[in-house]
Parts: sequence; structure tokens; C-alpha cells
Amino acid sequence: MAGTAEAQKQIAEVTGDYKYGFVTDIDMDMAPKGLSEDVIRFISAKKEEPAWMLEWRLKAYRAWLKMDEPDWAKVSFPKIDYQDAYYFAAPKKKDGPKSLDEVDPELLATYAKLGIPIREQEVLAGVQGSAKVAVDAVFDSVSVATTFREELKKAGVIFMSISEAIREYPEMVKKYLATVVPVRDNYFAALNCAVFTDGTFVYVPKGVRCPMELSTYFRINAENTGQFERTLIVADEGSYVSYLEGCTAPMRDENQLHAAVVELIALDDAEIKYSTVQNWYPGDKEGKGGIYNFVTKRALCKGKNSKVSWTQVETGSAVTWKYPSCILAGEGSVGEFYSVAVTNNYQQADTGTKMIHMAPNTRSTIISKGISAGKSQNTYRGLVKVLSGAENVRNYTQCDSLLVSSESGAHTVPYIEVKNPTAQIEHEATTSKISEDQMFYCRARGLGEEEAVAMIVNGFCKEVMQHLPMEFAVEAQKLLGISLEGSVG
Amino acid sequence: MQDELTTGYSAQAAALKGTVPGADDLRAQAMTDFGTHGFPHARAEDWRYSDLKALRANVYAPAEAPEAMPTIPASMGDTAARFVFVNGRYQEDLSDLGDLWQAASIRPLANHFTSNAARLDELVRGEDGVSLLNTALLRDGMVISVPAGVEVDDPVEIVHVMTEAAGRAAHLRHVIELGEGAKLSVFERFIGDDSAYWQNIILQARIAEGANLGHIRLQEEGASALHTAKVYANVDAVGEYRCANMTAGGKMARFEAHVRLLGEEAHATVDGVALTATGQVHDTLTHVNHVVPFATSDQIFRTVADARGKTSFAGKVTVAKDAQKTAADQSFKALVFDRTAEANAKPELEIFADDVKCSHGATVGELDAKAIFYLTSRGIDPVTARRMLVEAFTAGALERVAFDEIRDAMMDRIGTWMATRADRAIPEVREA
Amino acid sequence: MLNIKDLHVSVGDKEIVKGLNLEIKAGETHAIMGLNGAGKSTLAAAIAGRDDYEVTSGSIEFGGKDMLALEPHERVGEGLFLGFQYPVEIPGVSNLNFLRTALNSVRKYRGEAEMSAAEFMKLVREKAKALNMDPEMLKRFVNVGFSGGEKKRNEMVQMAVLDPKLAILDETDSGLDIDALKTVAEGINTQRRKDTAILLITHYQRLLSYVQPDVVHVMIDGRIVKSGGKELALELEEKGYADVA
Repeated sequence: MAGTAEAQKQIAEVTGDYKYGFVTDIDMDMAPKGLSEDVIRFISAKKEEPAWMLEWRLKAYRAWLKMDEPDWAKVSFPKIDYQDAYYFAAPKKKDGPKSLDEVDPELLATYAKLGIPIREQEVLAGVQGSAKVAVDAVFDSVSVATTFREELKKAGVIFMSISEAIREYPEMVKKYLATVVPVRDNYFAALNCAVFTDGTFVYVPKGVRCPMELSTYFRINAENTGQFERTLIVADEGSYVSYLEGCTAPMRDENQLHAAVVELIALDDAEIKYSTVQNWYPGDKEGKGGIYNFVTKRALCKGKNSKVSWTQVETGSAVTWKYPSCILAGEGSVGEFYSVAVTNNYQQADTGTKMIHMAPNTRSTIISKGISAGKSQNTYRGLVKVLSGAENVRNYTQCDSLLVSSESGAHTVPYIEVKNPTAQIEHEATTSKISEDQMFYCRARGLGEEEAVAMIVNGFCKEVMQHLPMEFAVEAQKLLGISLEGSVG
Repeated sequence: MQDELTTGYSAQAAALKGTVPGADDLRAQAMTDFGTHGFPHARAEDWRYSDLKALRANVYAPAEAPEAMPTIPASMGDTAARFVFVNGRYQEDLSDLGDLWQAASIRPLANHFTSNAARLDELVRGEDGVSLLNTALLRDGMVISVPAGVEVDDPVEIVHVMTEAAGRAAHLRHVIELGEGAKLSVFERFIGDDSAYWQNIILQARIAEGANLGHIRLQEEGASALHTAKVYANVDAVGEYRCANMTAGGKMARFEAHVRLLGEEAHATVDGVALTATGQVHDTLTHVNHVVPFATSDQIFRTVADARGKTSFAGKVTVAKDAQKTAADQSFKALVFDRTAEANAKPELEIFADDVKCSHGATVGELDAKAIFYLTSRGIDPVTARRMLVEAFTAGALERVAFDEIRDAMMDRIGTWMATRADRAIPEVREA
Repeated sequence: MLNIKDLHVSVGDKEIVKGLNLEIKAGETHAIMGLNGAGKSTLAAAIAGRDDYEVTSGSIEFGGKDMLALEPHERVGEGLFLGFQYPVEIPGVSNLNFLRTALNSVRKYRGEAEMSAAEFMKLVREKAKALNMDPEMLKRFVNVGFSGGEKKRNEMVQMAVLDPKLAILDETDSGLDIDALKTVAEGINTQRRKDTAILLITHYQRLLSYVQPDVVHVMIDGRIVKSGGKELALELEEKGYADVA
């Protein structure tokens, strides 16, 4: 991400393999520990929500109580005690920052250390030639700053924290919230509905091409706290928006839960490009600590010829359970999923996508690259489904796995379900290890072992990386190298 | 309903006590486990695409000898021996031991354990309600043991016929044992009348070092039949298991092949064709497990689905932690003719070793309209053109059938199947 | 510069190089000739430090340093270059990125500063031009989809950019048409200087008409059985290995 040279340097100074593992010492407002209707009332009150929102949350909570944790993914972890966590943690605010100048300097320092430009002038003074990026910074349970709001407003783009949107644009939120991921969709989504604290709301009006990249940067800081963010992006007819998401957390011995819900809605001819670089704390070399990343991301390509493109680079988290999906309901709509998932040490990732072709002439592309190192388990799980009314559907899927260690696992579980004869579905998958010839060739040109692995892995991931916005791609490439450190030998 | 199922089948198991000497304890254990598990639900991952409603709704009575023996079709080419089972019972007078008895030991299952109780441990007990019930209701089947070094060239044909068996089931178990360097081919055929019967069969094979088992199946059960079949093959070093399966009949038919490559340089090929139409549900599940290094496997499956047919393939390849230098390949292709038809695929790789080369490919689509157009532009009528293309499409999965007569007969069935679909619309050429 | 004494190399259980001695001084060009299976490529791989090529006894000294104690990439840092008989394809990695990473790794090993992007581009363009390589090729993935000749030319560009003290060229001439052969020869000749040395590994005399060696060695069954001047190569071509040795 476009950071100042200073910020980059500060990152470099934070030593250790995981460069974002520091803790910010700041006064926090916390909900009482545990989960109950009272805690939900507390969260809703803290966020000054309207009554309908509280009712909605309580309904979701009651539904969640009756649901079971999913057990079909190829991941295992000790049973989560949902009463042993905090569901709300926010930096104490005086009166709430009215402008960016009033944001707590401690927070600004934190984001600077992470290389995230919170001050607009820093963005402008950033690395030369870098594009302008508007940032919503979410710190534990609340959004602490949103940049470039005024400039975006001029273009008609609404970019704000979802808490604000619930207060300021209740009708719009009501209209779209949980229309893509229903409250009862799955265990973690239901939990999110009950306790979600903050996240980002974006609305791009008809015919508008969003003038800059939008991004949200998620930071878990407080101990024993879950983060439950909620993102809702609506792209109206003929609009375009590119949205980036990044995340980090301190190194802690206990596991922390991150259960987000992201909903995207693209109307006629609209396009949403959603990029994620997921770098939650993965736990230490012995598999202690790390984030449980249980996320539901889904896009509804509602309009004709709409398009949603998911790109993700997943290097962090102890356990990942995540399937960014597209429901292709608009005729001629397009869904894309480009993914790189790297697992090292004891990390477990079960990730992939669902492409549900409901309408004629819909197309989807899936490119997934999994890299397994250490003692990790890395699974691609995907579904391509063609309903009977969907004529002339096209899908191309390619899943490649690269094994870097003999103690890791690479698994591919694709489902293909076709109910229309005019569909053309192609799926290819390969699993292999890094070739010894390639390694020797690189080393015979002077590259060290880890450098050679990083270079070959980056080449292996090229098809995915090129879909990331420039600023992210550079960062992501470095991240791949860092994630694989210590995996050779 | 589960209680009724358990009670009903328990009574059947109790009635079979003593029919397979030595197996009563095993039978009882399997029955207890069946009571716990019941039949798998569609929610169970491996049964996602199967439809076991009929099993859950009825207790199938044991099949009995029919009033009149049906006509048994002639063999396809030369055979080393021919065994006929009608309604799940061996028919000695319809069978022909040929010369096989001179080369190999042939025994009915009922006599298998009396001479060697240790063999009980080798009997597959099953992992779900369907296979557990097969074990609980063990009664008949063929045990063929080929001694080390003996090669049987012609196939051994096993014909399974079901007739006048509405609401009744046969639970057969065949056991094949090949000694070191032995060679055998088994050709299983399944036919039946229109009664709503259940054919539930397990074939288990042990293939010793350097031995070679060919296994061909031609499933043409009756239109109302329920067919559940499982193959378990354990292959030692340099041994080979070669399977080719054709699924055409039955209302709901499921074929499972569980192959374990237990010795270095063991090799398995598991191929198949399914022709699925009018209300049929065809489900194929393969699991090739590479337990040791240097083993190889290759799978080719082709299925064609027409109106209201639902055809599914789930192929899993597992490579164990130390199974380095594994090479595993799998190809699944489905053709779908009609919008009421459905094709599902789940090609799965589960890999715990790093020095491997594994791949799979899957495609689903309709016939290539351009290819049809090309053939017709050379003077071939569209119906013939389509048949030719379907034959070409499926032929790849039958290429490894080593006996010309059997392979030709299978190809004929594909041609006939296509001929009954001559009225199907020819796909239009579309822009890509 | 290079001093190999009583070198024995095994691959798996099989001994392939069986007591080889070789000394190359700065400014010299040597050619090792031999039939397939004589152990030529094994020798090259062992000098470069390929895994699985086990040196069971003997020594390899290069610039006074014990090569056997160094990792493959460290040997490159010391000034060694191996031109591959079959250059490897690396999908997704551009030639430019590959070369730049390699060059900077070598510079880092030598305690030199990284080369700036501009400087590097200038250097690569210059070397590519000298070897008649289309600059577009630099943007393509390493050797992916290259013809045999293009791959060898690419090896020459890499050599020119890394500027080694000793270049070992393993069958660099195989599979080339006459034009490509001339380009490769030009690349090698440019690299010949007072302070550098070249070791050509080949089994044809063809390349040696364009790159005249100072010393020719005949290798049979893992040993050098005869050494001589460039006329030895011609003799081999005429009489065959059996008669010369």
C-alpha cells in the first residue's frame, strides 16, 4: 500500500517475521465480556443505532443460538468459547473526531507504523506516482477515520463507516443489508449480524466511476476481542469502484476471532473490483496464537452485464474459512475470483469460491494458487453451479498447488453442478512441488535458497497478482516472501 | 423409520445365522453398527448426489428364487469360467467352471471361512449403512483365489440377474485373491427385469506383489432397480488393478471404487462411462489412496446425461505423507443433452506429500456444435454425426478394456443408446 | 584460477567422475570433449554445486577458495557462471526481474551496492543489443516458449550481465543453427579477457572453429585421458574418440 518512505522505514524497524505484531497502548471502551442480549443492546446503544437495527440484531442472535458451527472444512481447532471474548472494544473518544486533525495521535502513529496513510496530505506526499487512495481505518470495533470524504462526496460517492451509514442513510442500508448474505446463511454470518461493530459502507451512484481507490484497513488491537466487521458496497447502474482491504493484528498467544460479512451488489453494467491482502497474525512457529478468520464474502451481480472481481492474497491467520462468491443473477454478468493462499508453520486455510450461474450468458473465471509450507494445510474448495435456466454459461477454473515442504498438505475440493446443456465448464488442477531444476537454475545465477523460492513462488502466483492494484501488488509480493521465510531446508 | 429399518433388517440377519459358518459375530457387529449409522443422508459429503429415499422408506425383503429361471445372455467372447447368480443366489446348473478350477481355487462364500477363520479379518465390514448391511446380510458370493505365478488369460464372467424381485434385495459379496505375479480378469454383468429390486454388492480384491487384476463391469439393471456397488482393491508392490465400468441401467445406481496402493510401483487405472437418462440417477465415487512412494494411478471417466438424468462423479485421490514420487492423473468429462439433465463433478485431491505430480481435469458441456456442423458439411447426417461424436467422446474411457468382444459390446450399447435419442435437437452453433 | 584435484563425483550410487584433474589459468580457454555419458555435464554440475551431485573425494578450488564449502549461489558470487545445456523455464518470472535479482544478489554477496533500476536497464539493453536479442524478449518469462536458439542466446545475455571470472558452458552449441552458433560464439569471445577464463564442454568440434581454445581435453569414463592444443579437437573429429585416446 502506498505509504510514506518514513512509514516504510518504521515498518522495517519492527523486527521479527511478522512485522505488524506490535500493540498500541490506548484507553479503551469495552463491552462486558461474553455474549448475551444485553451485550448486543450495549453495542447498539454505543453506536446510537435506531430501534430497528437493535431488533434486527436480536433476531439474528436468537437465530444464531439455534445454529451449529460448520464442520465440513478441512480445518481443526479447539472449540471456541464464545463467552470468553469481548464483543466491543473502541478507543475512548472525547467527543468523537470531527475532522482528521482531531484523531488521537496514538492512533495516527499506529497507522503510520503500519504504512497506512490516514492523513490526506500524507497520501498526496506519498510515493511518487502512486494513485490516490481513500481509507476507512477500523480499529478493533470502530472506524476511527475516513479520508477523502469530501472529495468523494463531490462525485456523489458515499464512503463512510457503516455505523454512520445506519444513522445517515437508514433507508439505503435497510434496502440492501443481508440481501446477499441472509442472516441465517451460516453460523458465523449470523453471529456477525448480532454483534457486528463497524465496517465500511460504499454507494457509487449511477454512471459514476469512483475517482479513487477506496480502502478499509482493519486492525485488531485489544486483547481477547473479536472483530466483526460488516462491509456493504452498492454499485449503481453503470458505475465502477475498486476497493481494497488490508488487515493486521498484534502477536498474541491466544486465538482471536474475526468473523466478517462483506456484501457487494452490482446493478446493471456496474463493476466492483474487490481486493484483499489478508495478513492477520498467523500464530507463532509452534502454531500458538493467531487469528481465526471466518469470513463470509458474497457478491450479487444483480444487474445485466454487471461484473464483480474478487482478488485475494491470503498469507495470515491461524485458520482461514473464507469463500468470496458471486451470485450471477443478471444476464451477461461476470464473476471472477483470483486467489493466492500461502500457509506456513501450523496455519490452516480452507478457501475458495462459489460461482452461482442463475442467468443466461453469465461467465466466471477462477484462478487459485495455493502454496503450502511448514506443517500447514491448504485447501481450495469451490463450487461452480449452473441452474437450468442459465443458457450459454461459461466457466474456466484453474487450481494449482505448490508444495514447499514434505510435512504440509495441499488439497483441492472443487464441486461442479450443471443443469443446463449449453454450459461450458472447464476445470483444471495440478499439484506439484517446486522443481529442483528451477531451484538450481536460480541458484546457479546467484540467488540464495529463500530468494529462489520467493522468486519461483511469485512467478507461480503471477496470474493472480496482476489483478491487484499496483500499490497492493508490490506489498503483496513482499508479503509472499516474508510468509515463506524459514520454510526452506 | 430408522427403528423399523433396524428391526426389519435385524430379523433378516438373525434368520441368516449359521448360513456362512464362522461369520455370525461379524454379522452381528455390522448389524449393530447399521443400527447406529442408518443409511447415509444426502447431507453426508460422499452421498451428496445420491438418492436413497427408497432405502430409507422400505425394508427390502431377502430376494428369493424366481418361479421361472430367466434366460441368461450368451457370453461375450471366450471365458475362463462363468458364474451365474439369480436373485442373489449362485446357480450351479447355469454356471460353467470351464478350466478355471484347474488353475485357481473357486469356492462359494459360505465355505470360505470354515477352513480359515483368519480370513474373517480380511472381510471388508463397510463404512456406511449400505455396506454395513451387505456385511450383516452376508450369504452368497464367489471366492476366487489364483495362486502365485498363475496367469488366467480369458476373463471370468460373473452374471448377476434379478427377476420378479419387487421390494426385495440381494446382498452379494465376491472375494478375489491374487498371489504374487498372478493374473486374472473378472467381467461382471448386471441385468434385471422391471421390478423395483435392490442389488447391493461388494467385490473385494487383494492383489499381491506383481499380480494383475482386470475388472470390467457392465451394469444394465432394470429400469426400476436400485443398484449399489462397492469395490475395494488393495494392491501390493508392482501390482496392478485395472477397472473399467459402464453404468447404463437402474433407476438409481451407485458405483464406488476404493483402491489402496500399498506397495511401491503399484498401479491403478479406474475408468468408466455412464449413460444417464429419463429419471435415472447415476453416481460414481472413486477413491484412490496412494499409501507408499512411487505408485501411479490414472482415471478416465466420461458420462452423457439426457433428459431428467442426473449423473455425478466424485473422484478423490489421496497421497499419504510419505508417498513421494506419486503420479496421479484424473480426467472427467460430461456431456449434457437437455436442460432437465444434470451433471455434477467433484474431482478432489488430498495431498500430504510434497514430491508428487498430481492433476485432474473436468469439463461439462454439450456436444461441440461446430464439430457436428463439420461432419454434416462432409455429407454425414446429423443423427449419425452426433452418434459418432458421442462414441468418440466415450471411447477414451473404454480403451483400456483388454477384450475386444467386451469393448465392442460396450461401444454398441453407446450406439444403441444414442439411436434411441435420434429425435434430440442438434445444438446450434453459437458465438463463443 | 580453477584447480580441480582427483575429483570423484557420484549421482545416487553411481560414480560418474572418477579422479579428474584440471587446472585453468586466467586468460585461458579450455574445451572438454567427450561422448555422451563421459561425465562432462556431471563435472559442470559438481563445480556449480548442484544437489544430488555428491563429491565423494578430491577438491575444487576457484580463485584460491574451496568451492565445495560454498552454496551454489555463493559460488556465483565468487565469479562462477554455468551455462546450461537445457536452460530451465520459470513461468511468471520475467527475464528482467530474474536478471536484476540475480545481479543484485551477486553484488550483495560481494559487498557492493545494489544497482539502480536505470543503470541496470542500461546495462541489460546494451548486452542484449550486442547479442542481437530482441529487447521484447527481456520482458518475457524466463525461457518460457523460447526456441532452443533463443534459450542459448538468453544464457549468453545472462553471462554478459553477470560478467563472471570463469564461465563453464555446458553443450551451449547443441541444437543451434549456424547463425545462432555464431552469436553464441561472439558472446563467448567477448567474455574472453586476460582476467577471465572459459571452460567449454562439447562433443563436437563445430563451436571450436569459432571459439579457438588454448587447451583441449578428452574425457572418457569420468577422467581426462588426453590433453593438447586446439589441433587435438580436429584430430578427434577425424579419427574418433577410440583412436585418439
